[in-house]
Amino acid sequence: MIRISLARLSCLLLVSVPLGAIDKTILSFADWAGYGMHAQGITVELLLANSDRTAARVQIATLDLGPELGIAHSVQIYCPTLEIKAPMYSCVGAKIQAHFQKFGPLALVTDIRWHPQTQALDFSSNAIALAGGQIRVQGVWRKHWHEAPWSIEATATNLSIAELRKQWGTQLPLPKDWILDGRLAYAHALLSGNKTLNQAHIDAEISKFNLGNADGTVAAQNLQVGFKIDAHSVSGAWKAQGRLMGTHGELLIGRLYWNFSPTGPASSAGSPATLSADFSSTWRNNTLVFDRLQLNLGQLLAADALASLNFSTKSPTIQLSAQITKFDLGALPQQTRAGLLLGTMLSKLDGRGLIKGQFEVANNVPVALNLVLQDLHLGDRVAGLVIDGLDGHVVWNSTHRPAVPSELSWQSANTYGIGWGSAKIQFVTEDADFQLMQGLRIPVLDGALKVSSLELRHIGDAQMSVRFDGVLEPLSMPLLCKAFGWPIFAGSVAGAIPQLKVEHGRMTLGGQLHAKIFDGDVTVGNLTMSDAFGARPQLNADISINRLDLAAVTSAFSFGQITGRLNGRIAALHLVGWEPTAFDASLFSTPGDRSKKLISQRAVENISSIGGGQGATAALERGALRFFKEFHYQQLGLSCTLANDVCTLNGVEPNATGYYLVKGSGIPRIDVISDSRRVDWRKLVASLKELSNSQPTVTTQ
Amino acid sequence: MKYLALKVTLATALLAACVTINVYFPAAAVEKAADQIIGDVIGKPAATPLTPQSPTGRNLSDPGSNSLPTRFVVLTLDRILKTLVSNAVAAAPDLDISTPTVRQITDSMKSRHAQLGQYYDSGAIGYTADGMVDIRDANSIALAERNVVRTLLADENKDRSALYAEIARANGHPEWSTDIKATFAKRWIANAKAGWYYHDGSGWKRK
Repeated sequence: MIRISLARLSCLLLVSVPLGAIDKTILSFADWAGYGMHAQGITVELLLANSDRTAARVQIATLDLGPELGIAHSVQIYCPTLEIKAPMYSCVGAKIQAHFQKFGPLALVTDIRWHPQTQALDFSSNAIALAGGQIRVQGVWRKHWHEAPWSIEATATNLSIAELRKQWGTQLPLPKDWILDGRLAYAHALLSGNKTLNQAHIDAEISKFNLGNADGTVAAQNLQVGFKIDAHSVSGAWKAQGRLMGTHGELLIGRLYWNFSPTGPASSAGSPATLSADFSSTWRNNTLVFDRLQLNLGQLLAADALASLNFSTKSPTIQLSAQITKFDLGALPQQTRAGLLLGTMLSKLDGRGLIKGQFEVANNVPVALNLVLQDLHLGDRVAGLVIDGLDGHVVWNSTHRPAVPSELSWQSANTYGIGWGSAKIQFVTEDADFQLMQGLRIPVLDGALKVSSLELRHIGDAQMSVRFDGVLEPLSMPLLCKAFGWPIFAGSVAGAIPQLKVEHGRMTLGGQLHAKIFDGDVTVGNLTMSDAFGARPQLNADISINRLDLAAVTSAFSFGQITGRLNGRIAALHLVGWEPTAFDASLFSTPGDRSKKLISQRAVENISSIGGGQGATAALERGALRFFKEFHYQQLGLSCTLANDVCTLNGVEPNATGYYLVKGSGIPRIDVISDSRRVDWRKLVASLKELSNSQPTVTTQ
Repeated sequence: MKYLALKVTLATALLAACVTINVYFPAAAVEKAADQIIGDVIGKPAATPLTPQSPTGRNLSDPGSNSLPTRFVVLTLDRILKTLVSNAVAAAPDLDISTPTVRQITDSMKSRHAQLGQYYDSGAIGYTADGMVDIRDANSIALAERNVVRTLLADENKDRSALYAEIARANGHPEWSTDIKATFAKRWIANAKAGWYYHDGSGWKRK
């Protein structure tokens, strides 16, 4: 007697058809439910081939396998050998074909067994060819859900992710224009449930994984990722814990680039650049909450975090509270660092040292940062900045929180070769603003910069503004010259730097800068700079020069000896990208100066060159002049009005053929006269000897 | 009397034409300047100039632009205008592109092109229809280089905008900036090397 136990049988039609030697029995069911399944339109054919073998064919119009597997249509099960031997009925090599709404067509060969005593139905498939690889599936259903759950176990090897996407692409929450490729090298999934899925253990390894969005801002290349997740459902919430490992390949998310490969730049000997993430999480009401998230990224980063991601909206809403236990600047790969700093003023910043601290994000927006800096070394070879022994803490808050003071100190610093001493600053930061809390004095060379106030607003955007008040205590010019690689000369530079402002990219200086050099004075006023933080800053200034000692000037610059005093002005100086493009300049003997005025042969030659002459040397070497190494002069001077790369020249006074550059006196008297009015500025700068062909006249009396 | 209206009309037309001459956009001169700058930046001889144009910028050899009688009238008017303003046109200087700012921008673009050239060659980036550059196929750029390329393109576009504005400013017509940009857009494409990509407003095309 065959006992058929079915949960529900709504209609039964039994037909026996003699068909030659085969006795065929057809059973038709309109509706059947059990084991978490619901079938409609069922036809069972029993094919009695002979006395020791019975075959069976089952056709089901619609089979609902529950929310996880969904509905299958046109299900056909052919059992070549139906073994009915207590305590187990089995079908070996059953061929199943079905069309799943979720997964498309499916065909597999499996063994099916029925255990009447436990009322359990189990199956185990042969290897099924799928997406260029293989998958084996086995499972068990039990009638009484509350007694023992059902389970399905699948093991897959070497599946093509691109093929899987073709087949089941509609199941992936991924836009069509994204690149997705790689191999599911190994995957083992054990899913079990009680009516619905309530436990999952997944262990998988993906290799050669490529991912890319349309604009290329999110991408993975040749990534090797392994993950293991144990999850279970409790009272409508999924709790999961697991581990994610990234060991090979490259990853790009916006500006963040990482190379996991052992040979990649992030890796050094014995310090693989792997990513590991251990987590414990809960999924409820479209929200994924991480109550434990431990991140380790090579030797660079170790952090613990609490986070939640709400997927109710189109873009997930992120809340994050992270404790950074280690951020080793020295382990930050060059390519990663470059990506993060690209387009900033410190794009080539390099560094070493440790950073620890906390970081908070609320509703996708960073709201708080509290960092402790330990013995940092920072350097930017392009910006010409080096800072050593940087210690302290930086507290940054969004505007919603009260500002907390920060403090930084450094042992030494260097900007463009100028050495700065140790100092400590206290400040507050809030949103995109920075404000110094109290004045400070920073030693620089043998002087100091006293800063009485410094305020930055809207840091990082086009509205950025800076306000600065300070005083430069005298710096020795020899030290400054040495730092800049200039010829060494005596003097000092000092001055008040009041009301320095940068607004809308334009810097203005409220006062004047004074330098006491060559026993005279140089004053810089009306200093403004446009596009101060851009690629081509434009600087405007007026410079006045008063009573420079020409002997000191000419000896410092190996120009040839001249004695006397020099005045001058550079009005409407305009620099673009630090290159002069316009000015109205004149240098001339100080009016009323009664000091001794002598000019050497070499100086005469060089001044002649400025005037466009090539023949002064020959003139000076002819006749009696060659016996005189220096000459007396009344006055000397040169003016240049620069516009459109052309310098319009003039001298101290007009002459019948041109103008005097040097007007001599005494015997032998030597005058340097030029008729060259317009010279190419760049050639003038590049080489004084490549000016116009006009010859200056050196006359002797 | 019946010729009076015609005379007045002709006189008005000629007067109006004379006024127009003073403000016309020097398309040919801008093309020449663009070719010079582009050749300097990408390191190739200037491309073949565009078809001859009238002082008003109209393409005179485009047979499809007008019917035959209309073309005859345009050509005749063009000759009259050329005769009337020949001295002015002949005396019109080439576009000034020798300012220090233009030179600095050009040097900057030339230096940057040394890095960008390989991405034009590979088709990762191309010229846009508005005289700028853009990424055509980001996924063909190595991951480690993508942010570098994006920054280079941002800098390049900033330089190009500054260049068009500076040429207009240096020549005393800041209002030409848009027309200069449009002219450069055509010349960048005309000067592009074979195999490079450009966007014609409807999609990317391979030259």
